[in-house]
Amino acid sequence: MTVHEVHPRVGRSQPSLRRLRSLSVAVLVVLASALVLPDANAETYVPISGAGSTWSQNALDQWRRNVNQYGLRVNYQGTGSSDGRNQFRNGTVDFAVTEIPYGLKDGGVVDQPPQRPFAYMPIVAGGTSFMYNLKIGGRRVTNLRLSGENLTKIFTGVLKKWSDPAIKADNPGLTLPARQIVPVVRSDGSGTTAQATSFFSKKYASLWDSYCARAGRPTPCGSTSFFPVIPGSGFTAQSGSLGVSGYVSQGQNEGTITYVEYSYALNAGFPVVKVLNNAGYYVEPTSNSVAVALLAAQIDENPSSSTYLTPNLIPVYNNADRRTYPLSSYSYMVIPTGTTNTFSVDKGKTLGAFAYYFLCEGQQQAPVLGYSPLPINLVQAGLKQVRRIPGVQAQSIDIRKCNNPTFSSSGVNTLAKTAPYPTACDRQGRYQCTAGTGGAASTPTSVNAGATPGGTSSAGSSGGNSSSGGTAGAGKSNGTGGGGSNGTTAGGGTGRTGVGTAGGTTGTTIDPDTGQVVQQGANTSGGGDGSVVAAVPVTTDAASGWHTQQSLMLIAALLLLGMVIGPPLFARRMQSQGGSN
Amino acid sequence: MSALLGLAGIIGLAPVGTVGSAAIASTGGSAVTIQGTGEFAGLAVTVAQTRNLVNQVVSVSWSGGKPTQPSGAFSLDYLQIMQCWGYDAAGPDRTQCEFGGRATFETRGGDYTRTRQANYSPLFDPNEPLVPPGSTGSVFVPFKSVTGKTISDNTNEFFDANTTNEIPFGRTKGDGTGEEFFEVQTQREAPGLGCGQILAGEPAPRKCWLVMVPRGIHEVDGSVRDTSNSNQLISSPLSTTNWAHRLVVPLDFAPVGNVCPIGSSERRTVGLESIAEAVTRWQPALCTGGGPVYGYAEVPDSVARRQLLGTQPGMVFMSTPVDPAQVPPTKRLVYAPISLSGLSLSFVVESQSAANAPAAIKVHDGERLTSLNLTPRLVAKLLTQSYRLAVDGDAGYLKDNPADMTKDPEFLAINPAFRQLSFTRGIPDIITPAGLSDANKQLWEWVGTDAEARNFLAGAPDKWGMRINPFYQGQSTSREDFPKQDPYCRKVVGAPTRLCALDAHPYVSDFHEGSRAVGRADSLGRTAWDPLAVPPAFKRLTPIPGGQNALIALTDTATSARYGLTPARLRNASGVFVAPTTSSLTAAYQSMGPSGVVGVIKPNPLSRVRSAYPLPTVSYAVTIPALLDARSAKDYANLVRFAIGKGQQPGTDPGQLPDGYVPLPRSLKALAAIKATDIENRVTAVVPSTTGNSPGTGSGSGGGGQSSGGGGSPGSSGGSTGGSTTTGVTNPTQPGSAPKPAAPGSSPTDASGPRALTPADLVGAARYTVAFALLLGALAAGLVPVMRRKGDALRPMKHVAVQHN
Repeated sequence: MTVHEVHPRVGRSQPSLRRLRSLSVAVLVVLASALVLPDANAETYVPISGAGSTWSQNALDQWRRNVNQYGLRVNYQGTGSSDGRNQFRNGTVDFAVTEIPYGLKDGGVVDQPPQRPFAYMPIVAGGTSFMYNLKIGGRRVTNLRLSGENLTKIFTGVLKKWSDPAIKADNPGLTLPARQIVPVVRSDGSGTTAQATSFFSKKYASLWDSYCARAGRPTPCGSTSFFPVIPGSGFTAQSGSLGVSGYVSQGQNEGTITYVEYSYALNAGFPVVKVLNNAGYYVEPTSNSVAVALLAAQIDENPSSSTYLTPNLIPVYNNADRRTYPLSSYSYMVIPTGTTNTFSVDKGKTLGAFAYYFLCEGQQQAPVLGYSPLPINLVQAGLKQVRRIPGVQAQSIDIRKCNNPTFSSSGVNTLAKTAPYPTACDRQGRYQCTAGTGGAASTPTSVNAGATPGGTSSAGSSGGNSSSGGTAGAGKSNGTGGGGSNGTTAGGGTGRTGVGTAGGTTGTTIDPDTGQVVQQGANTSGGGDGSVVAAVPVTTDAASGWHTQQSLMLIAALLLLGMVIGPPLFARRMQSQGGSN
Repeated sequence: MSALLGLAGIIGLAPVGTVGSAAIASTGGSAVTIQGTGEFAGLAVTVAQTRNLVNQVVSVSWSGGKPTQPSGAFSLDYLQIMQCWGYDAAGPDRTQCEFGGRATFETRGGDYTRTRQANYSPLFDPNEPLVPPGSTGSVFVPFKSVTGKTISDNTNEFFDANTTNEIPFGRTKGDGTGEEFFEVQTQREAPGLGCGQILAGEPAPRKCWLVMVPRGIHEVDGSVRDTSNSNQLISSPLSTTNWAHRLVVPLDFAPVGNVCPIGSSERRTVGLESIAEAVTRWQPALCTGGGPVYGYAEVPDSVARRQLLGTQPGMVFMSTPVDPAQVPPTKRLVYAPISLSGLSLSFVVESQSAANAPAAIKVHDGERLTSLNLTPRLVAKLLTQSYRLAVDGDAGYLKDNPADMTKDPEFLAINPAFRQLSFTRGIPDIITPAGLSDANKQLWEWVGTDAEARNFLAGAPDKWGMRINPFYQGQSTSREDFPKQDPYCRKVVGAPTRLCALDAHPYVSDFHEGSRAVGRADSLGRTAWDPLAVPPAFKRLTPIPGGQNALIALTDTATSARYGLTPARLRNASGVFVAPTTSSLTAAYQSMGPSGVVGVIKPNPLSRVRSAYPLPTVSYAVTIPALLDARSAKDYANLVRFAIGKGQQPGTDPGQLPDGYVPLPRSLKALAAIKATDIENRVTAVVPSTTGNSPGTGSGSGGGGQSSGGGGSPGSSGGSTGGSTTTGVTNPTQPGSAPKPAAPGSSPTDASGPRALTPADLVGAARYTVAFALLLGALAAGLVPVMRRKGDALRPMKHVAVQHN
C-alpha cells in the first residue's frame, strides 16, 4: 500500500535550517532570475496519475523520480493491481499497472473491462520469488531449493512440515527441521498472487483445483488475484508486498514462506527459493535468469485481441534453457488509447514520453532494483502501443536510440547471451550449492557432507572462494578465542580448519522448537541476527581468483594458527623435556 | 527591482470592489497580509511568500477568525484556499481556480462545500447567474484553463484528487488563528493555471493568485447554520454569494526552469535515500548547456555495495564505507563526500487538550507542536512495541506499561507541555521502513550508546516501572532492521483472520513514504474489518481527523523538510536535547571519527560536544575509477564537482541545495575536489602512503598483535556485526578492539579525523602489516619456549596458554 506523489519543496516550514540564509539567497535569486533568461528547452508536460501493482512499484518509483528532470510529473499509488484496474475503469486515473488483464473471472466475479478504449503495454520484467524464513539449528538457511510441484504443494497445504521427505529430495545438503510450514499469502487483490497462482494452476492443475475446491471456489479455478484461504489451515494473509515480506522477515516467524517480487527480498535481506526448471536446475530469479526465461514468452500478437500483448507464460514455465527461472513474468501498463474521461492529448504527450523513457533508458535500472530489463520483442511491441496514445510525440520514439541493456543496436538479446549458466551444484541430484540467495546472497549455508561435488565440507568450499570469508571469520574468532571456547574460524581463509577445531567444543543440542538435533557449530549468540550462519560476506565478483591477498591471508591464517597451537605444544614438549632433564 | 514592482502591485489592489483587500503589511521578505471584509472584517490572512515562487510549500496563516465548529469536523467557520490564474489586475474569476479536485475523495464538511457545484436543493443562491430558478440537474462552475479550454463538468483533465493543491478545509483554532501549508504549483504541476510560464515577449513569467474564501455560519440564502449534519454549511466556495467574500493575494513566480532533453542516455548512479532530495534537485541543472544527464536509483545499501564491488561500479552513494576486508587489493575505492545531513525522527503532533485541561490549553487545540524531546530509551520503547497501543490494549503482558508515549512519565518529565494533552490514538510507535539499511543501524547505535536504553533493552524496568515488551527482551542494538516481533493478534468480530501487528502498524517502503504518511496524518494501519470489500479484508484507517495528527517517522532531514515535518530533539551523549540544525549538524560533523577507511568519517554518538546532534550523515559518492571508461569517469567527476560547488548553495532553484542539508564544510569540499580529480584521472596506482599512514601502521600491527591475546572481552558481546567497531573508534586504546585483525589491507585507520586530506585511499605497504605482525608474533611465540629453555623464571603453564590464546 505505498503511495507516492510528486511533491513540492518545502519553503518555510523548517525555519531552523533556512531562516538565516533565506534573505540573502532570496535577493540573489531575484536578481539572477531577472537577468538570466532561461534558454529554450522548456518542453512542457502536464502531470499524469496512475495506480496499481506493488509488484513493479519499486521500479516505477525510481522512474518517476528520474523523469522529474525532464519536466515530467507522474503520480503513482501502489494500491494493488485490482484496485488499479478498478480506478482505470472508473476513470479516476490516467493509467493502471497490473500483471493480469481485464476479463478474468475471480471468485465468481468477472473483472469487467472498462468502457474507455485501452491497451496493454509491458513495462518491466521480474521473477516472482519465494522468500522464506527458515533456520537450521539457529542458523538461517539461505540456499533452499524447491521444485514447482513442492511449491504448489506448500501453497495448497499438502506439505505441512519442512522436514517432509519431498522437500528433502530437493535439498540433499540440508537437514530441515520438523517445523510447520506457514505459507504467507496476500490478503488484497494482487498481481503477484495472480502470477503465483497462474503457475500453480497451469503446471499442477489437479493440486490447485483440489485446493480451490476445499476453499469453496468453483473449479477449475485458474489464476486468481485473491488467494483463496481456508480458515484454520495455518496460512497467514497479509496486505501488500511490504506486508508479506515484512511478516516473513520477523525473527519469530520461522517457517514462513511467501511469494513476492524479487526486489522485496533484496530489500529485506532475505533469501529466496531456487526453483527447479525444466532442465533440472535450481535457479534464482536474477535479472539474467528472468531475461532468459522470457525469451520463450508467447505474447498475444494479435492486435485485435482483447489480451493483445499479454503473455502466455506456459512456455516460460517450461523453458528448457537451464538458466531459466520458471516463474518469470512482466508487469504491464493499461494505457488509454482515446481521450475519454479526463485523459487529454496533453496528458498523452506526458504518458508517451514517460513510456518511451521507461521502455528504453529506464530499463537500465532494472537489474540493480531486482527486476529484469524487458527483452527486445516486448520493447518493440510496447513502443508500438505507445504510438497509439493520443497526443504522443511519435516522431521522438526511435528504437535505434533505445538505450535498453538487453539488446544491442543490432537487436541481439545481449543479456540472455551473456547470462551465466548455473553451476553443477545447482543441478538436481545429490549436490547442493552453499551460496546464499536474494538479499542474503552474502551469507552461505553449510551443507551436509557429501552434498558438495568435491566431497569436502561446505565450510571449506565457502571459505575457499571468498577472500572476505576468512577475514570476517577471523574477526569473530577474536571474541570467542579469548573466551577460550574455540578457535573456530581463526584459520581465516581456510574455513575447513575452523570447522575442524570447532567441532570439539560445541556440543550436540536439541532445538526446543522442533525437537531435532541442532547441527554442530550452532552459534546462537545474542538475539536476532546473531544467527547468521557464518557472518561471511562473500564478494560477488566471481572472476576474482587467487590474489596476493588470498596468499597473504593463507599465510596469516597459518601463522595465527601456529601462534595459537604452537606455543602450548612446544612449551609442553619442552616442559616435559625439562622434566626429564 | 522586481521586488519593488511586486509591492506596488499589491498596493494597487487595495481598493478593489467587494474583494477582501488592503495589503496592511508586508512582514519582511515577500510575505503579504490581507484583511477580510464584512462579517469577516476581523480576519487577517498572511501568505508567507508571494514572490519568486517555485513548486514549494508556503505557509498561509490567519488570525481573527471564528473557531471552526465542531472541533475536528467542518460544519461552520473555516477557510477554503485555492490557487488561480487570471490577467485581470483585480484578481481571478472563479472559473480560473483549481478547486473541486478532491470532491469525490473528501468526506469532511457539507455535501457541496468541496465541489464546484452551484445548485443545491432546497438551498438556493439568489445571486447565482449559472442557475436559473427551477432548473434541475447538477450545475457546475466551469473551469477555464489558461490554455483556453472550458470544462463544465465536475471533473476535468487539468487537476484531480492526486494533483490538486486546494485546501478545502482550513481550520481556525480556538484562539481565532489558523495555519495551513499550501503547495504552490507551477505550470508543471498545474498546467491549467500555467503559473511561472515564460511568455513570449513578456519580461516576467505568468503571475497567479492565491484565493481564500472564508466561511462563517451563514449559507448563501442568509440562513444561519449549526453543527448538525443536516444543517451545516453545504454550498461551494465558488457559489457567487460565497465567492464575494474572497481574499486574493497575487503570486509572482520564478520562471519555470529548463528541463533535460528526454531520450538522452543517463549516467547512472545508485545509493542511499538521504541523497535523493539533493540529486533530484541537481539533475536538471547538471544537464544544462548540453551536460550529461544523470539517473539515480534508490537501492538498499547492501545492493549498492554489491554493485560497487562488481565489474561495473558506476557511482554509488553511501554513508558507511565498504568493509576494507571485502575489497580485493586490486580495487581502489574513491570516496568523495558530497552532502551533510542527518537522520531524524520527525513528527507532526497537533495539540489535543485533555478533557480537564484549562481553557488556556484548549485554545491551542489543533496547533502543531514545535518541539518534542526524545531520549534513547524512549526511542527504544517506541521501537520495541513496548507501549500497549503498539500491540493491543488487551495484551496482558503489557498491562503495567503506559498506553503510549504521551502517557509515559519519562516522556512527560522532559516534555511537560504534553501533561494536559490527550491523543485519541496516542503515540505508541515510530513509522519505520522495512528491510535493512545503514541508517537503521546508525539509529540503533545511538540507542545502544545510552546506558538507560541498554538496560531497558536488557529487561530492566525504568524508574517508573515500565519494562520492555518481553518479546524484545535482550534484543541487540547491533542490527539494521526494526523487527515487529510481538505475535499478538486480536480476534475481530466477523473476521476469519486475526488482526496482527503488521496490519495495524505496517512498515513503509522508505523515508519518503513514511514522511508523506506523517504529513498526511495517515498511520497506514488497517484495523477495521470490512465485510463488503471484495474479498473482505481489514481496511485502511481513514486519515486522522484534521487537527488531531500525532505521528512520528524515521526519516532524513531533507525528506523531513520536504514534507514539512518537524524533527524531534534527540538527547546526545552530554545529556542535551538537540534538533538537527545547521549548527548542531556542523558540530556533529566536527566530532565524527575515523571509520577504518582513510578519508571517510563516521558518526560518533558518544561525542561529548554539547551542541552536537547525535545522528549526522555524511554521504559519499563512491566509485572505482580504474573500472570506468574515460567518459564516464569525467561525468562522475563532474557530478562530484557540481555537488560540492553550486550544489551546496542553499536555495530553491534547480541545482541548489534543498532544505534539510547543511552546506558541506570547506574541508570536505577540498577533500572531494581531490577525489574528483582522482576519478577523472582514473587512478589505478596505489598512491604511496604519506606520513599520515604511520599511525595507521601502528594501530594495524597493534590490533593484529593483540588479537591473539586480548580479544576476550569484546567477544563476549556476542553481536555478529561490527559492534566492536564503535568501541574501536571511541576507545582507541582498548586492546583487541581492532575489528579485523587478520584482514590484510584493512589495518590503517585514519587517526587524523574529519579533516584528513590524505590522498591515498589506503592499502599499499599497509596490506602487509598484519602478516608482518603475525610473523613477528609467531617469532615472539617461538621465542617463548626458547627463552624459557634459557632457564628464566619458570612460569606455570597456564600463563603461557592464556597469553597466547
